[in-house]
Amino acid sequence: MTVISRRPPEQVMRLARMGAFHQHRLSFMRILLRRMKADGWTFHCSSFEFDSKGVGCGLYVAQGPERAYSLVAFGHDLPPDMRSDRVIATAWDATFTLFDGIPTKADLERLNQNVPLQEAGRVTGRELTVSRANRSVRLWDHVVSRLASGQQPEAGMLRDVGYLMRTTAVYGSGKLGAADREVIADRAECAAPFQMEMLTVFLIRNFVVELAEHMARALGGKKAVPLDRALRRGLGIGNSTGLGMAPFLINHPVLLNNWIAAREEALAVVRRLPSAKQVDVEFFCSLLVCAARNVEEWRSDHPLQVAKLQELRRDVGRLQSYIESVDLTAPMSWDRLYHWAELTLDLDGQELLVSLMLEPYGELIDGFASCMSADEGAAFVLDGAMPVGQLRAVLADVYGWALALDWGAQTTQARVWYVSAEKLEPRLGERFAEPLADYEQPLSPGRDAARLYADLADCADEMPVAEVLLSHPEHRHMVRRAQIADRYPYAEIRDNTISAEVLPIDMLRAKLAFFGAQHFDPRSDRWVRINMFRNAPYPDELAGADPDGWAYST
Amino acid sequence: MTWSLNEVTALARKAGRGAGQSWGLAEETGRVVNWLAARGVIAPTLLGRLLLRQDGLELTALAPRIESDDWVNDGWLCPIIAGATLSDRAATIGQQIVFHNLAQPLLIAPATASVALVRGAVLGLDWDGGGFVTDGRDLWLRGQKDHVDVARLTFDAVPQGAPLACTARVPVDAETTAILNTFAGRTYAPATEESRRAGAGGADAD
Repeated sequence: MTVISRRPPEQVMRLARMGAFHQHRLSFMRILLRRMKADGWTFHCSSFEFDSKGVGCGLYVAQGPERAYSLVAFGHDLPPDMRSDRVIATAWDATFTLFDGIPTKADLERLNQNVPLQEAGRVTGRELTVSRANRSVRLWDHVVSRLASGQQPEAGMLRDVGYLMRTTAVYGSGKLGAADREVIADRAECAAPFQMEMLTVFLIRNFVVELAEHMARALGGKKAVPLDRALRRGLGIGNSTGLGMAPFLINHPVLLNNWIAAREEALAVVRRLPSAKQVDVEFFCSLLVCAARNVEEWRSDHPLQVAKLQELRRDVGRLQSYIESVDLTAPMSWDRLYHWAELTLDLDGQELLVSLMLEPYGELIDGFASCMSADEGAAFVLDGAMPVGQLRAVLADVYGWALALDWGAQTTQARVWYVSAEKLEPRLGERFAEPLADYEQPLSPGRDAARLYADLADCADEMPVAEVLLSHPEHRHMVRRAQIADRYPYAEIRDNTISAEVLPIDMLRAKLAFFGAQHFDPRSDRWVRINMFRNAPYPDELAGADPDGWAYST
Repeated sequence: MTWSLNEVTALARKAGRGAGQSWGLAEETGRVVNWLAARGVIAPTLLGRLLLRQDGLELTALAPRIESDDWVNDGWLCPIIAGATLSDRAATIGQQIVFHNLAQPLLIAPATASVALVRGAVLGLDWDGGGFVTDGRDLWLRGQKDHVDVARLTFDAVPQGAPLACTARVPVDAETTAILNTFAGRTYAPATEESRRAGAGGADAD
């Protein structure tokens, strides 16, 4: 009998496939909502003091079984000419921090002096995240004026934009002086990755609607009405993500491995099922119908994404036709369905199917969430005793694709990742058109592996790597990566990250899909808008709602 | 003002790179500062002093030449390079290593800790009037110097008293911040017209 194992890294870790990932059961937003629902978290707004322009401060408390977390929200009156999504902006419509516990008055005063400044301010070990958001001006004004006049906003306009505010950064893990992830990693609610960042956004979404309703009341007085609950559901929090996020996946190989490995193991578990129950098949089919509608709602003007979306919509149709023609309760039907998809569908369709196939099997796979964090320090120390022969074999195995490329060709290393002095933000430049090579960030493992491999040519197989590193310190970074990739199969992207054809949005999408984002709308090859928590229950609805089903809703 | 460990780690890494280290070595610099700072040592200050002293020098000249148990070179040993070399040889080094002319000897403690873990031993580094002991996890400190002429690594060291207390916050003074930022700044590319145009993405409003 054939053993069904995880898909191999040379299949999964290609940029084109990673750029086709969809949210799934093990996405971090969904892990968060499941946990909060299961543990009976409660939420309340303990303070809300804003003027008619939305200037003020609010406090939202999330109470878990062991401890509380508080979103401190500051509203600002932002002149329109200062409204920018760029990481270099210096003012925002709203700024936030997630406080560990419940802040005192003194804490709030300190935060008021710092959080609105974002990068120019400082927070402390009591804060877990720092974030900011800008209004979608078009939708904000429409919603506030409609509610003020006693009317609901136009549903079509809400659907088209999808959010009242979009975050332009959600910083955690020690940034700007906040607590390091290591400080909270032992807490059950923080065990999965990015849980406090996701909680921040979940609470921001609630605040944003309440601020819009407040401003409508200030404008319309007694005429004003609250936002219809169904319309409210359809609003998420937008997010504008640029190049800065792309290096993350390369800079955190063990973490990347653990994310991918969890999802691949989940897929393998489902494909190994000898048969599917009727109830699970029906659930899968119902979600496929939702997913088909959901995909119809994605909007993009970007030519690449428009083409991908068309193909995805076609593939969803093919998938629907196919499952009507087969009996999914037959033996090994999930595995057969997956094989059919590999042969028939494009990558976007295949990866959507992977997400959907996991849905009926939470009991089997949700526990993998506990394997998705990483102790990166433990993997850091090099094994200097590794013989060169073994290192050569690892390089040939993991980076064989890179050893086969012609690194002398300009197109192979056309790009260079660097940080600009002007804005301190990551950028992708043209190596042969700009004087950037001296400032290159270590984000091209394929090229570096090929260089290392070439320099090992004259070394004896039994020579320990320590000897090589003493005379070739420039290879230290790559040797560490190779040793990590040897132990963690999904640690490395198996594509050239500096080629003329690289699309940074592929890396952004892979990461954002693990966050649980939807409605990917690339605005160029290097930044993307997405929606977070769209259709998810609000804090006041979570106790009575399905913490998972929203992900495919429309 | 205190910093998070991740902040000082990132700054140390960038500063190391700006000071001419390879990226792999700069990563070691980040880890060295992280490991020591987590045990209450004001490691960013020590790193700042080291980088200033070594500024402009060819780093290969600061790497150890290994002559039996003596680690020497023609100037002084950079503790980051010597530490990386020591850690790389954790499984095989002898038990009588002597470092000659070692700058900022405390910065070699994290590598010593790696050896301690690999060998399952308690290691010490002794110099005239001071030294440290580590079992791989904890650090016992007896004084700090900017430079020692001779430092002896010993296996089966005996810690005295209490180890340094662990902490998650690092005090960093303004002078050290300025020094490390200056080195880190060398990793940033001056702006060009092309790069401004391409930018990092992001729109202004909608």
